[in-house]
Amino acid sequence: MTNLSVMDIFKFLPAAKKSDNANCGECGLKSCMMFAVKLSKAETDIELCPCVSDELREKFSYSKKSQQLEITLNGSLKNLIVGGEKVMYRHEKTFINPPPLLVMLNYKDSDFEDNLKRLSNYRVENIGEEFLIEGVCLKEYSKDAEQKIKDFGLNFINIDELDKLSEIKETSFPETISKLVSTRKKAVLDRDENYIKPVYIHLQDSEIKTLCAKASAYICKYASLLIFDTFDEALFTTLFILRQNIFTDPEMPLQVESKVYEFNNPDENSYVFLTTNFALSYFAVANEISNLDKGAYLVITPSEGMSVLTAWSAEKITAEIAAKIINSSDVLKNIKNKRLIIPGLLADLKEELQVALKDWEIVVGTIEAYKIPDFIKQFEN
Amino acid sequence: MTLKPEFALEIFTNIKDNFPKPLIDYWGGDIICNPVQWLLKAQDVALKVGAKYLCLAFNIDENDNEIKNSIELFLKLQDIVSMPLIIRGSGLKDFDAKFLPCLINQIKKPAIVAFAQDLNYKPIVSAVLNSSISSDLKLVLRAPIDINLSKELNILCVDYGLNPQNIIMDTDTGCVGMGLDYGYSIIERIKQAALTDVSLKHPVIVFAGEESFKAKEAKSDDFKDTRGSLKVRSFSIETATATALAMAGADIIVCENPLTIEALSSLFIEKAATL
Repeated sequence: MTNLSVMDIFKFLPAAKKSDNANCGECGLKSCMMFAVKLSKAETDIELCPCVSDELREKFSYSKKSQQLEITLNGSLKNLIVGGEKVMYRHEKTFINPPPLLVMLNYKDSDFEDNLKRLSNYRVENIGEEFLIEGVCLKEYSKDAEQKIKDFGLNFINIDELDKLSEIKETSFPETISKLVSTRKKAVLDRDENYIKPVYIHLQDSEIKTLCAKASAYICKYASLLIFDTFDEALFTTLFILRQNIFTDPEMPLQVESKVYEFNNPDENSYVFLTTNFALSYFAVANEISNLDKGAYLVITPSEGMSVLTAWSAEKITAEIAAKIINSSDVLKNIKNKRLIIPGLLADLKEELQVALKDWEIVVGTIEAYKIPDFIKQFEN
Repeated sequence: MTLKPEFALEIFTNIKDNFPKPLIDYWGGDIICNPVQWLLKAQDVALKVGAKYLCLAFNIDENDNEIKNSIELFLKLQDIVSMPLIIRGSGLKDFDAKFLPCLINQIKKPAIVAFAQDLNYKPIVSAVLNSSISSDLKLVLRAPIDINLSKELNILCVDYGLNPQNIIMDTDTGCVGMGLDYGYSIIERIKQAALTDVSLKHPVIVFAGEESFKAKEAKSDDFKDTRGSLKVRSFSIETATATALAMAGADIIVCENPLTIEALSSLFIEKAATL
């Protein structure tokens, strides 16, 4: 296969250049266009055309070469798919396979079972993605140890599976990063077949501090899989979230689920805020209200991931949309003093909301989220 | 492109109610309430952990009395500090339009001033131009997570007389889990665009600490055990944020936890990484 389009090929052929040999038929086909169609599907041989230029020949052979391979590692519960990346930067095209974080254990260690227990208990959710330990390997193989890993419900990955990838051994940090970057370049830009295997790094540090910095860097630039000898819940959660950030689709606004969120154990006296499901709007507001010294609810409207002003002008946040989600919430029914604090940018929507939500007092809040704490202070005085 | 970020350790003139516990634990509750002592201690720590700058943040409220008090405090601190300073205003646009020019008038040593924004750049740029050490003052220009807004602000400030050599860009970043993906890609795009576009050819500064400690995860104990200890969580959020932004190409990285700087600066100690 080639990823050249018909037109990519056609523009190099005599018919497109309007030269003498246009549609000469030497290739056995009626027209240059037909030759281009067949060639784009690799159904004919480029050398059949007597007029083929070196430039097209080069483009064609480059396009036939593969970029980084996508490799499946077999696991006892779940196979891991790694690599397959096609670009250097996430703003060009979404990265494909988030690097799995594996933990390597030594069954001879006295805390082997304790570690397995911690690993199997680990489960964290963040904006719709559940993080769990994706695989456990053994430093030295033992059948009993493998069974124990499985008994704890963990995904056992045989260390031999890693032979399907290539390892970049850690040297100094700048050197390691430079090696990761040049390998990725050779794989996706040069399509150099010596570098198209996905790469993994076995992190050598045991100190959390260095581990955190290095692993963060390798997730960004460009490890396809990481192996740790150490596990820490807080460290892994942060790394998983970083990985989620880096591997998210840069063209799709990051969205959070439309629902009523609770902060600091709210009760029937708590404040109720509202904003759209654009992740940055959500985070900005959630950050502020989670830092208030009281409980609060946050109503997130289904607004296709648009920010407040965009959603308002596209009518993705209307009185009807807001009323629907508020009225369908059971927890909000119990609120005694029904006051809904809406974003300052939605001031124009106040009247309509007041009509749609008769039980509620609509309060126009701040335009910027960071002013919420001051707003609440003033509100209470 | 090579990566060789510089680091700044940030301290504050005001300790507010929700100041992160991990930072109180590091510095000690007494020290952080005394700006002079904190600055002296922070200066020692900054040198030890590999920071090049000390970032002094005037995190004050919108109140004209605060301007006078802050200037007095600054004069005192300026005399005792020996490291290069990054001097940061309140971040409030209207207030900084008044406050930063007063502060800039008093700066007697080379420094970086943060930050001018779309609605307040004129008085701040004017103050820089009128300073007796104008050529030694760098000004941070902050625009909210948008490469075009950053570019526009750079052009406006240059048109207004600011020397392009003295511009440092702050694209506003978000921390890990809180929109870091946007900040990360904007820096990567700026660094690529800067190869051909002079209006983006400026160093990039990131306030990784500010962003990270906005997150409740970085300062509250109120999480399940599966989220790990506050100490590691808080540290790792700032470290992952700072590291990712360094990888994207940020030139100056401002952090609040000295341990973050220690972890990161030690990685770059020998030489630059090549991208």
